[in-house]
Amino acid sequence: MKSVGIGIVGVCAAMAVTVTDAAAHPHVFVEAKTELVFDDSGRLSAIQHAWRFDGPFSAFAVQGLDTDQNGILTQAELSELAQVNVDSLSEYDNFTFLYQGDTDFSFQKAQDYWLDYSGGRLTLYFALPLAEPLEVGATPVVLDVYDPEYFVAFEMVKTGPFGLVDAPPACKLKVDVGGELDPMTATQLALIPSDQREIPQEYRAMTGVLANEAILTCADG
Amino acid sequence: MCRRLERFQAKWKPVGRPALLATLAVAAATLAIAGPALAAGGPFGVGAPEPMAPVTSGPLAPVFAWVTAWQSSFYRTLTTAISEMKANGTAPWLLIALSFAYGVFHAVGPGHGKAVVSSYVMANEATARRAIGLSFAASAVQATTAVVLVLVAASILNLSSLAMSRSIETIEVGAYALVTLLGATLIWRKILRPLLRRRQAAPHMVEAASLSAATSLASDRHGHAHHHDHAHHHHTAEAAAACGCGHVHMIGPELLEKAGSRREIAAAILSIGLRPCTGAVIVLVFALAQGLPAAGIVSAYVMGIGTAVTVSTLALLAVGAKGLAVRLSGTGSALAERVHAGFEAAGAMLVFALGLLLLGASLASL
Repeated sequence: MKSVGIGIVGVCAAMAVTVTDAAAHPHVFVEAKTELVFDDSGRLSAIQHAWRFDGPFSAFAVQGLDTDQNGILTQAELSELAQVNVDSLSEYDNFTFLYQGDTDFSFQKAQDYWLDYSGGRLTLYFALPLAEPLEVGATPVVLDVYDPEYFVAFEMVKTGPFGLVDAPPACKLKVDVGGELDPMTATQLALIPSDQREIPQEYRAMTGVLANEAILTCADG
Repeated sequence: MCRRLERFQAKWKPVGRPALLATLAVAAATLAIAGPALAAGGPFGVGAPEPMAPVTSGPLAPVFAWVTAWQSSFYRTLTTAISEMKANGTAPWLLIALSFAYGVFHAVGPGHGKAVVSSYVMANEATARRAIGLSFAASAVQATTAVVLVLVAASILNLSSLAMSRSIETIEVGAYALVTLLGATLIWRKILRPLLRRRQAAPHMVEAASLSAATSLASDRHGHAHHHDHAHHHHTAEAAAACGCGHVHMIGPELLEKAGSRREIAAAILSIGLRPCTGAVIVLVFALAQGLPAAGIVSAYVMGIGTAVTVSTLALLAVGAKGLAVRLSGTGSALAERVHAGFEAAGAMLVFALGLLLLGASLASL
């Protein structure tokens, strides 16, 4: 029985050595552009995404989908893929995190989703209606677009990364876009546990900015 | 991160067998250490990542962060290199160098290959040469799977990315079932059978114990199968008498052992190589789309060489650790035999636990 005991100790040691695999590394790179959409009553009602995928992932994803083989991928030919995309994304919280202080807001199922393929790149358009439209006041509401597991590397587009649609005039958006995150920094950020939304000060200092965060306030006066 | 794990646990909860529970406990220990994100469908439903274990804490986390950053950077530059070849007709050397670097770093990252190889060589009387051979064979099979899958599925059958991703997931289940089976075989050969032998030979306690150690020591290296049968020699003798061939007890088990270990090695190689690396598949499809299939194929195989270099390094470490532990406890001593048997048992349990964990995760996400 002693050898079994040694075996168990050995298992633990070996686990520590061989199974502590590395973090995920991105196979998918997304250039994101995101809009915060308001309803008629001036409440925040939806998040509208346009995500442009990198060339290799696009090439893989559209493989075999040009069913009439005319070299052009229509919305109809891409509809099944768009469906699979949003279905799968819902299991990953759509990489979209909206919160106010400690309160997280949830979303309904994705709507109005379609894929566009041009210049060798796929772009996924989809809207996420909030479960309950949100009255935004002076207390900041924060929107993050990122993959905590870093399989997907999100980078907001340079011009107009976040936008407001039909927002009351009092609403202001503060966006931190200070250039790209280099891979090293992005990975450091990815190492922060996903339940920890507030980026620790040292990382904030190190990165200077976070490229995929928008802070919304709608203060009257 | 734990969604899939919860699903996996929910599926397995009703099973109450102690052995399975024990294994799950080992699996849970793995999770406690590694906390894998067992994503199989992938966030976009196509091009699913291999099951992996992101390290977000612990002393090694910064090392893995560094590896991940480099791997990511190599991957991007590599795909750019393919575009460049298409656009400017540049030489393939950059692509080859980047593919190799990507392979080296990728093997440190996600994937079960190195874990299976390291545990397998730990469970067996593996030499350095065999560890390296196993690593390279597995990587060659893995590159071939990616190339054949993409060439057949994409260029000949014109399967969609959705269908390809589904077939990869199916292959994945098969590969992980094979890891589990391999683990079960090792547990039988390295733990259960020696224990049973010892019990059978209880009256000759001392002799049996040393024989049991001899069994594991001799198992693969020399095929000293006649040692195995000493403890219950009369069984074999009876069997031999019954079939009327007097020397079969000398050859039969030896051949069986050899055939068994050959089957095991094949299983180990296939279980690693069957599941193609997602990065390689994407690069291959991308290269095909650019009209440069040869670049994709070369890249996939060079990635394989890079992967094999890392995996064999880790496998050699496992072999070295085992050898060192045995030497430190005094080669030939009773303690050394126990340490040796302990390493083998650990390797066997590790392969089995890994197989169950990966199999459960990939079934749960189907």
